[in-house]
Amino acid sequence: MQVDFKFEGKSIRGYVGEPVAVALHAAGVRVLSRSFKFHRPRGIGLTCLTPLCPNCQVTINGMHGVAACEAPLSGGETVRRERAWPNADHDLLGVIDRLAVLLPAGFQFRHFSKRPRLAHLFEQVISLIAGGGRRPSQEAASGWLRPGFGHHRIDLLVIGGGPAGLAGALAAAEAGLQVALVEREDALGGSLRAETRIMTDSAGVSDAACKLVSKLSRQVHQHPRIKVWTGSTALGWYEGNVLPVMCANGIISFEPENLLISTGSYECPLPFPGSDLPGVMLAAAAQRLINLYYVRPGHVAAVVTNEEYGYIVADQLRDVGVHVTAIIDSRPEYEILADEVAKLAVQRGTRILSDCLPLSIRGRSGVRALRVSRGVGRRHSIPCDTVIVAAGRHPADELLLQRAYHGSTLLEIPENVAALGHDASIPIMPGVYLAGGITGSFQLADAMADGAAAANAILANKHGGGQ
Amino acid sequence: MPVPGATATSLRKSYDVVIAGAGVQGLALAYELAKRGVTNVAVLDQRYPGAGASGRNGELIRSAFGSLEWCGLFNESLRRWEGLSEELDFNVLFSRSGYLVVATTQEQFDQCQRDVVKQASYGVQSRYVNADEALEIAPGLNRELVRGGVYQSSAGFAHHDAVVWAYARAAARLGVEIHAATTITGIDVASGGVTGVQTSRGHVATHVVVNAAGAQAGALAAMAEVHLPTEQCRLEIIVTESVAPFLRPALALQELFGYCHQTARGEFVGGTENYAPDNTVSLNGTYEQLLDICAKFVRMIPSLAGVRLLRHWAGVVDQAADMSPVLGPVPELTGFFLDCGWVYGFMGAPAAGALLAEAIIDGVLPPLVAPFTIDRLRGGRLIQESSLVTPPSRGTEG
Repeated sequence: MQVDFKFEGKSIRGYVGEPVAVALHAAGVRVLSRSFKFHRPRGIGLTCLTPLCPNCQVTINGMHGVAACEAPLSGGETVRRERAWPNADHDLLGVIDRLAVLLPAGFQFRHFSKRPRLAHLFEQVISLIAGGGRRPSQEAASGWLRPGFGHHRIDLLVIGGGPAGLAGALAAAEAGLQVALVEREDALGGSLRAETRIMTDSAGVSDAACKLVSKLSRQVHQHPRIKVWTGSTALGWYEGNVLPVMCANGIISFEPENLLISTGSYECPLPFPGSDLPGVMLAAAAQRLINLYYVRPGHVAAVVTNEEYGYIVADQLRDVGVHVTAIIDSRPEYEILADEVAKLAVQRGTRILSDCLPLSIRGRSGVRALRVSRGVGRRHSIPCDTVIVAAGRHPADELLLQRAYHGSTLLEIPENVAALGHDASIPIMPGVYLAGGITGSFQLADAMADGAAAANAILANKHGGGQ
Repeated sequence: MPVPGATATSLRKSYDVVIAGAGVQGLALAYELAKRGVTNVAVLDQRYPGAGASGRNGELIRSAFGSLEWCGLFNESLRRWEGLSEELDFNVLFSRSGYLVVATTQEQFDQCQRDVVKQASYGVQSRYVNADEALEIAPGLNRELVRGGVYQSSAGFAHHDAVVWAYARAAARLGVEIHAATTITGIDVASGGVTGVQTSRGHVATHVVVNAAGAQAGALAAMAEVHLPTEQCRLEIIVTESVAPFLRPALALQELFGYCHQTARGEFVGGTENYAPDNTVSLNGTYEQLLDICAKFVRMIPSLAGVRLLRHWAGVVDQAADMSPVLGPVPELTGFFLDCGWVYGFMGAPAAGALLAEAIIDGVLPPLVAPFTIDRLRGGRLIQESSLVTPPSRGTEG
């Protein structure tokens, strides 16, 4: 259903439930905010369309700092960008970026030490131009107050509702455990919700991955012993085995007897000059745009990758009418030809530059071209308006890192708790299991098998008693 | 990889002065000693400069207190804060944004008025404000919590890490050695005087040892068989995401045992305290305290609801029964000096560093430091300081 909302004096149309950032993107708005220090233009670029960075924060109905890539459109809201003057498209404070060489990290400690009046003036200037959005009205702010829903002991807490968490929750619930499943997004399924390619689940069924996880999600929703909390973020892992979760209506804290961490992984952004500009997008973000929200990221895309995933997303982009002008692959030609998926792209006639690395982006407030280097000394400029980056993933292991520091003081650095490659059926610490993308199991069947293995280990431990 | 701020050379066999603890107190003292010509000084730290409370505090600075002792020492400190960046040739970002102690009840307001009168007689510039004036000085404060307060316009806050770095750099420039990752394991005593320290990196001969070891001050004093009548107390602080700056002064609310300020970049930094001191030493924030701080901050400044939490940590201080620092010599042990028991140690460093340096060099205790010796605690003469933002079960009544 289409609705209208107000954006800086204009009226924009979007679809109910889609993120505000997507509605803006579809309407041609590329710059969503300006960076904190240098006021560089930012948009849904480096993010994967989940609120993991501050680049899409806007003010909605008087409340600043709302992640536009997450906030669902309901219709009638007033949206405004912040931290720019006069507006985020033409921000006069962007001149700070051109003075970057004068403002290295720590510059504020080196200047004005002998000039207290200048130091004071400098501080006043910083107060005027720094800071996030304007102070929200008490009315807007009070809308954010949440009640606490108490502290709950639970048999099994599953954090992350992707295939690993879903399979784990189902296996545990089937065997009689009470399970709470926490998922940050509004729907279960994880990153495969946006994956249209054919995959096989752990039962051997093949279909579009998004359909398979959808089926799994339905099973979980329907199970009487699984309480599902979507739109809920685990806030941390505190001493005393306390895991608070922020959900739409309030805050609830859990003390789980068993914990399954199936939080998946993050795509790695590739830093190179200009890679923070609107138009440079992680491949998973591009997939979400096209497969969940039916919005094209741009018209002409260059794909930067070193793995088959980049080629898969390039295909999907092509299928929805985005012209993929080139695929930049850092691997040498023989390695690319040994990659089945990449070889297909070569045979289809896609322009593929092997042994090639991104150098920089040409463009001030968006992408105009991607400059690359090939081998030794050869440089190309590839005109495009979108750069898609698929350069690997790393585990979403923040909870583990937090836990590792429990009980430590500054005198003891905890041992590294490595998630990647961990066997799902073995607890990483008593009562704590890992499954799925967080351990590197990116295939659907593997992730589901992981979840089930972890659940079985928990059950065996419960019935067998003791470690 | 060498620790930033630490000397790369190895620990020598002897120094004129060994300072235990490279926090703001130890480093300020080292600088002040070197400035007066005593450069053969080693500052030893178990971890790295600023690893303890100096790197974890709420960075507030004022001198508007309720006792002659506190006003004297901290006013001298405030005076030095004003010229500190220039003296250390490092911008410590001292912001003279003002400090507002907020009274919520009539009783607290009456106490504020009494404090202001005392402060005037002690030479501290401050004024008491009514509810309207307080709300004008600190817009955004919850009207329900404001009866009035004490406002000191010349007070404010500074960047706590910058101060540590500034003192470390200035001291090192003058020849002081700062040794990180060096644990003192014993203090040698002979004929009623200090003769050296044993460390994890070897023995060091010295006739002057200064205990600026913060949370470890008690353990260190015990090595010299000196009983330090202090207890450890764990405090937590949060930092919020940046909001366009709207609060100028630092705030302290006795009703909530809370304090905070907004940095020039817009982040809110502050914490709350609890009735019973937490004697544990974990440096991790706890969920209970987090809830307490967040709930109270939102009550204090309602438009903070919905602002994101950026960071949350804990730090440990060492405190005496009267919450006042323990400074100066220990009568029965020549050469052993105390510079600990600090709860408001960050704001007191510039004065304490200079005055204790004088004490060590001249052998005479300056009048501003004299009330804070260990003798007062041993003799039961607790300092009566009424203007602290701490629960009444600790500290003393006004």
